[in-house]
Amino acid sequence: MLSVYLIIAIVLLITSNCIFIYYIYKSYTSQHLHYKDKKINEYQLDVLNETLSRDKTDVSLGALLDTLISSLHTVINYDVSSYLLIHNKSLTFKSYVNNQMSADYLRKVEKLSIEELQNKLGKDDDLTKRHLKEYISGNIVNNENKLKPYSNFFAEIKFNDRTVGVLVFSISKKEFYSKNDIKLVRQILDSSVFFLQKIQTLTGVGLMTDDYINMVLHDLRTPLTVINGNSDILLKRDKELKSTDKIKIYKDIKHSVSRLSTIVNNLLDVARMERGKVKLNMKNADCVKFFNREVETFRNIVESRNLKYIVKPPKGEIIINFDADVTARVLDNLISNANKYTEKGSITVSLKKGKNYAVFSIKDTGIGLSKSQKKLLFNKFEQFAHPVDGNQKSTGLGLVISKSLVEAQGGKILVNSKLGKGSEFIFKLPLI
Amino acid sequence: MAKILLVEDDAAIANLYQAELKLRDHSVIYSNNGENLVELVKKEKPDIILLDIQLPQKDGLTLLSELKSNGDTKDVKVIVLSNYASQENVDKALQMGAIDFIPKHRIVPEELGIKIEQLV
Repeated sequence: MLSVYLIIAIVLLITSNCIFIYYIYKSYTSQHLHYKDKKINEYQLDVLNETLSRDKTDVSLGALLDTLISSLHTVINYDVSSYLLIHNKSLTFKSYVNNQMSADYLRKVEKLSIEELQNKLGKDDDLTKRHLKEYISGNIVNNENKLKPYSNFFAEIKFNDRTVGVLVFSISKKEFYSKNDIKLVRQILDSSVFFLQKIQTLTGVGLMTDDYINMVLHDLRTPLTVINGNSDILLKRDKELKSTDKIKIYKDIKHSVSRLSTIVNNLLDVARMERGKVKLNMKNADCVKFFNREVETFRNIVESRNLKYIVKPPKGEIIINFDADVTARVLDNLISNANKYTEKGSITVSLKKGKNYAVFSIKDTGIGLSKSQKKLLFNKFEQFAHPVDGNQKSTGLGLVISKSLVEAQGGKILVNSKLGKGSEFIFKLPLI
Repeated sequence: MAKILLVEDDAAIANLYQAELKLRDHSVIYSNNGENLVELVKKEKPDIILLDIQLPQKDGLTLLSELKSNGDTKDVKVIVLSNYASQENVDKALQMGAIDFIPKHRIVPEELGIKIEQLV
């Protein structure tokens, strides 16, 4: 499966240059350009060309910002240009030294940049908890130079509508950056980032991050480790094992096989969805009967972890037009997630008849989600580019797929959650 | 017979190692989240710790650094067991004082048992 993704990614990376040239061409031809706008567009063309040609496998925001900080001196004056960028669990501070400045100068800029980004992000994401990586390029650092950064201009970096960093220009001269300088840099940054997002979205580059591949590998390896290890114990220790131990081992093997099958199904669903090949088999049927049958298959799995499994079906029938196999996969993903992220307490699964919808709810007493985690949950590219956090145990593919499968049936999916208090995932399918 | 502290949040993996280690007559103390690990180690004084990296609260490398920076627990032997076996994680764990880093998928429980017996 991964090799299929790798091949697709390589082909798409090769075509990314063509798409990029198309966007640049479009930006040239779609409007009458003033001389200054034309200069900016020429500059964007150079920046993106440089970004794409430096390293064909790194069509990333970092690569784009590297190009910007090392080349914008042709547009505005600065001693040092830097960027501070959130990358997964870490924070990268990279400076390009244009005029020889001291290490103290760079530290001051770094401190100001962290304060600026923290202000933009609010308290939800504490930057001091992230591992900071520092890089310097360009001219030499000269500690004999006692000049300090007098004027600093910060431009917020937004990627896929999320604040992910700041671009900073610092100068020791006692003068401030002009409105025109600020406007120019803003324009170059925003449009370069816009093009990069388009390229990544169209080529699926975001999907191929190392983090994503690592998470898929980790997801696959955990159940494989359990199956392999337990089979080995059964083979070598058959006579020493008590029958109760054996039952436990068989249960773990069975559960791991179902974990593997969920992961493989999810990967196949993503591949199919990306090619528009998910065909629904919609039928009018009683979803209460379906609900009772499906949710019971999880009872053993949940209760074997000493969690309470509470099922609340409605009285009577609820007839809806739906695809039972697809909806079973949504339930499977949501209940598996609840089980994965709940250490103690209960999982409550219910079905109710609403005004216009049949409402399925999966509520747990698990670790819950922060505001920023909630924002990323159902977005494939966000999930792939920014794994929720270090505690995330899987690719999050299940939720992305569930959303598509619910929406394809005319339904909606939503989440209520508080960090540390648990989560409730609700999906609604329309009544006939 | 060794006293082994297993820190692992995946119940199926924990069952797997416990089954083998108990058959080898070792005593196993199990923590599924590594909570108050330093205190637990001070109290139980295990011969060796099997430490996962991805845990629900603090990650395994943070816990390792807490153990190694506490005078009472700095000498305890720690094997990091994780399928997140990037070179960066392996280097970090060994630098922090783990005696070994074993990717879970590359070792069957019997081999782990033998390894532990060689080390304690």
